[in-house]
Amino acid sequence: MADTLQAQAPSAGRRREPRKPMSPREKQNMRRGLLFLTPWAIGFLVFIAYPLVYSIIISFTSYTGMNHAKFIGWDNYKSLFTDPLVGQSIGNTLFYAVLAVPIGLVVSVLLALAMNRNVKEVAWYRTALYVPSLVPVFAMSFIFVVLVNPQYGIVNKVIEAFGGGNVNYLAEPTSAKVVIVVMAQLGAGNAALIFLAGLNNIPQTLYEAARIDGANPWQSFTKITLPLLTPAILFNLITGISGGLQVFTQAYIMTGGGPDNGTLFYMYYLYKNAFSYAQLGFASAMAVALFLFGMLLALLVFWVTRRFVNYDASAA
Amino acid sequence: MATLTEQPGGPSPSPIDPAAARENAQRVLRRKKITAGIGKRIFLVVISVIFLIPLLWMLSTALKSTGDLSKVPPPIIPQHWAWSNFKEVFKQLPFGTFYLNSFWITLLTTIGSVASNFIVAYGFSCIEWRGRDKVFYLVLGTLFLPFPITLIPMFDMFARLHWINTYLPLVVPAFLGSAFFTFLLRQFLLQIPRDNLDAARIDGASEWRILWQIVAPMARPALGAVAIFSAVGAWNDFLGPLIYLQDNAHMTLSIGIQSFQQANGNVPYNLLMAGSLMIILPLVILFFIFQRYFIRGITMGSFK
Amino acid sequence: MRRGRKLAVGVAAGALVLTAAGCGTQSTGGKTKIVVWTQQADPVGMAAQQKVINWIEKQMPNVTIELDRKPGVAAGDNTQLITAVRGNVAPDLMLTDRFGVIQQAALGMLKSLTPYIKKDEAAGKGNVTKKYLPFAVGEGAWKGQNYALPYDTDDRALVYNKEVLQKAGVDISKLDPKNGPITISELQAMAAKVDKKDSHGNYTQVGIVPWWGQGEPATWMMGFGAKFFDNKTCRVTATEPAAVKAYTLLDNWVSKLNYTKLQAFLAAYAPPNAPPTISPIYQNRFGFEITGNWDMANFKNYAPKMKYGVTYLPVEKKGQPPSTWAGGFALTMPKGTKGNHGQLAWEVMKLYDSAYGQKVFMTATSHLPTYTALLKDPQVIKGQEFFAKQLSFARSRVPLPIGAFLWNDQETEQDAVLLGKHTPMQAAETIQKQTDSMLKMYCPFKAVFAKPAGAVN
Repeated sequence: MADTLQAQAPSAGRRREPRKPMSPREKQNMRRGLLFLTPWAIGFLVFIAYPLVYSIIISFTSYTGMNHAKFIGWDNYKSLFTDPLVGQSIGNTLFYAVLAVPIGLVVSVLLALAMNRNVKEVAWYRTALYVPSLVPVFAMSFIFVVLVNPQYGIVNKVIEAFGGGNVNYLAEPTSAKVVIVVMAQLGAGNAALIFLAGLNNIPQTLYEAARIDGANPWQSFTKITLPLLTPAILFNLITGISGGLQVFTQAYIMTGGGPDNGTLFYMYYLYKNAFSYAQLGFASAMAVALFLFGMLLALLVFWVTRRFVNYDASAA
Repeated sequence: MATLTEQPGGPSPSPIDPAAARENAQRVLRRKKITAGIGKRIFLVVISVIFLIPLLWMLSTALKSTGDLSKVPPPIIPQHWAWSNFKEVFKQLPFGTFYLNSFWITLLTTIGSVASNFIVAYGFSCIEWRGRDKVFYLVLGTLFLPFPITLIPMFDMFARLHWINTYLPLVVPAFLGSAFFTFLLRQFLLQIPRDNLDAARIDGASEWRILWQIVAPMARPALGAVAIFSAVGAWNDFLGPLIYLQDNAHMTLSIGIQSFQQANGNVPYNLLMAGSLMIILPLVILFFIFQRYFIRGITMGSFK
Repeated sequence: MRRGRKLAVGVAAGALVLTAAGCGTQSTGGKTKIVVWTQQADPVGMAAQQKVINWIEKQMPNVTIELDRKPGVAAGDNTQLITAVRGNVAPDLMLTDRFGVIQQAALGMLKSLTPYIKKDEAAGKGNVTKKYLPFAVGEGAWKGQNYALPYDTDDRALVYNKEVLQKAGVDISKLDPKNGPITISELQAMAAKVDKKDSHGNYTQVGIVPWWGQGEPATWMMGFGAKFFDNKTCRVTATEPAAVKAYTLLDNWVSKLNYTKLQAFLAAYAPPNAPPTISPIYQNRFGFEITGNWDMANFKNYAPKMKYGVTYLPVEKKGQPPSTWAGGFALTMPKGTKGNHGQLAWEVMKLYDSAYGQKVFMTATSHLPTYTALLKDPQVIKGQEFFAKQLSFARSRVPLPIGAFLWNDQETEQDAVLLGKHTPMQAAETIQKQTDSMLKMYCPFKAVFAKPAGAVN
């Protein structure tokens, strides 16, 4: 299997080749490629590069958003290491991401498989499984508080059945984070939809061929489905990391960062600094740090997984 | 693994009479199909119910009278079905205006996202050019730019353009691509067999034509996902409308619904949930219709 | 190709719709438009404010007023205002939480009202701020300038469920306000009689949860006479004895109870964001709770049969005078407005906050007025008489530019104390350290310690 996968790795632009002058054909392709990138390039310059440069500049100043920014050198970056809440918020965020990203991947693959079952009324199941992803977080946080109610909440009823229960999970810093992880799974429909699209890309003929070769469903899953789902897995992994590192809304609406700063996530602390504490310079330094860390992590994941990601279904 | 690629119709390994074996196999298969159908369904129904719990709770709360609401524990089935709560929401808030505003923003955002990200992703996947993947790393990186930091410079810019209190700050960015959607579509477009595109190019088709006539039909599930995500995102967006749309005439559903939260923290749950249900209902219907795009209909390689 | 062109046409049409939608905000008919943002955005509050606006428009025929809902997002979140002021698209007036005004003023987001007040005085119209409760006016003062006119207010008291207490054998005659406030240890003794557990050790009834509802750290600290801020050093006095004493009280109190079980009890009967229709006290789950005047309307609507009493917050030693604190909203004038209608906005503001304006709003919403004369109006304070009386000695929280930050810190450290992660002193020291660094950008300044109103009714 590994052999075939490596052999299938698309060659274009993936191998280091010595730089040589471009042929007219290559030049034409380049022009065309760049032409198609125009909307993105404009958007990148206006909505990404400009705010990013702005934040980098602001991150070296003391700035409330209203006054004149005062240059203070590396002070904001030094504060990243001395402010204990930065450390705590990083800890909370990593705790969340380390749990939420892998759990999210597994749950959403399972959902996608369910959404892809070959039954007549599948549209209903798909809709049911996707509905929680449609509920605005504002409303969802109200619902979730009821679901985890120690007395009559359904989550607690289930836990009671396993011998636990009657605990206010939102009152303790660690379990409050776990609650937010669990709540995020109700929104797994989004990632599942991407996997569903991926599943639909896999030619049915492969499965038929496998069945004839006597492969059992598990073998079909691990040898056909998973490898051919890798582009979608890579996508959901990287965007999952991005979402995990920037988790914000649930804490903002549901727990306000408590108890005892247990759900004070990095993004939430950043936001508070920017818009509640008027520490825009410091918030910008936090943002630049997150941006650099996230980008490096994404590139690392991209680079490590490139040999496993299989874009070529027809060669399988 | 190599055996998997063998075509059906190869030599049968069975030494017994082929006809009898086929019949036998079919019978087993039929029986299996029925039981599998039930097994499948039990599982599907169970997880569907789990995922519907929030919705059912919303519905039961939305239909509760004030009296039912004050019971502890709250009755699961309302004792007095207060259908009037839905009317009450319309009476207390200009929900019609909210609907219309949200509708326009969502429609334009969705069109913009699908079109722009499809075009950009095509450039990142279906045309090969030097440095393409390095530029793509930039796209990946932008997934990690924290939104709070873009708020102030963006607002300053839109204010200078006199775009505040118009839909433009919410809609125009959708026409200029987004890292998330570009990345998503790229992952799928890369899976389209190169041969199909090259064949079309040799036939003299322009890239633009290949994009819309060959690639678009093949990428339907992925494009469907982009459409759904951007529609839901725009419909439920909170922060954008909150700061860019200032007056009541432009207010969207997601902001309007928060008006039920009173200054001292009191919330009329039944109205809040009735309102929320009315907010998500169009999305549910839309999803139900559009989930058809997620079917295995278009087999790779069936296009010239 | 054709499909692409169609799309382009569609987009262009969409853009037209957009720009058309954007042009509806110009003033018409030679009238000046004054835009008001309100964070009292619930339907009842909106209707009352609209009624006042209609009345103002009759008084000022050259003005039209647009009232925009701005449901409060979170305390101290200035995102909307900061962006609007910078972009010169801020509203002419804003009805906002008074607690955040000083920070907004200190950051330069608000216009000073002092020039308008002085102009009025020079014209012989008197000083409008004299009409309001002094502590509420003080909450809007920064570096010698006024930045806000106070709107509604509220205060806190001890509420008890007569039936629960009597069943538990508590002598409720002691709770009559005529006898003055009870002491904390008396309260603890009474509450202990009410506590009940089931066979699993889960609480089914609790005397009082001292940190629940309005039992904020600040409530207890104020009761012990905390100063919160030292004008000489420009520092928060987080480690002052009164503040540490409040945490120590909670620490000792919680050690007599089972914190985990208590949190489970609270989450069951008083979940966060609970609708006003369920409150543990309605269900006979609480003996006491600390709450405010706004709950009286809820009691009437949702628990009409409950027999309850209201008395002063407990004091440390017998014979001490009662204390409470008051909050509320205020009207401000942001900088960076679209037009330059300062004087007109000021006139509108005074009418919005006039005796009539406050009366309409307070009667509709069951809030307390800050317009001093209205506190004598039985119609306005109906059902909240006890709370109205308390305003004669109520204090406001010390107005600081880091008020919201300090508040959050106090709550977080309260969690830490209750969870046993910090001792009371560690909690105080953490607050000290964090506020010190946060205050650097605002010092030096002098906080206004406004006096209570004295007899108001």
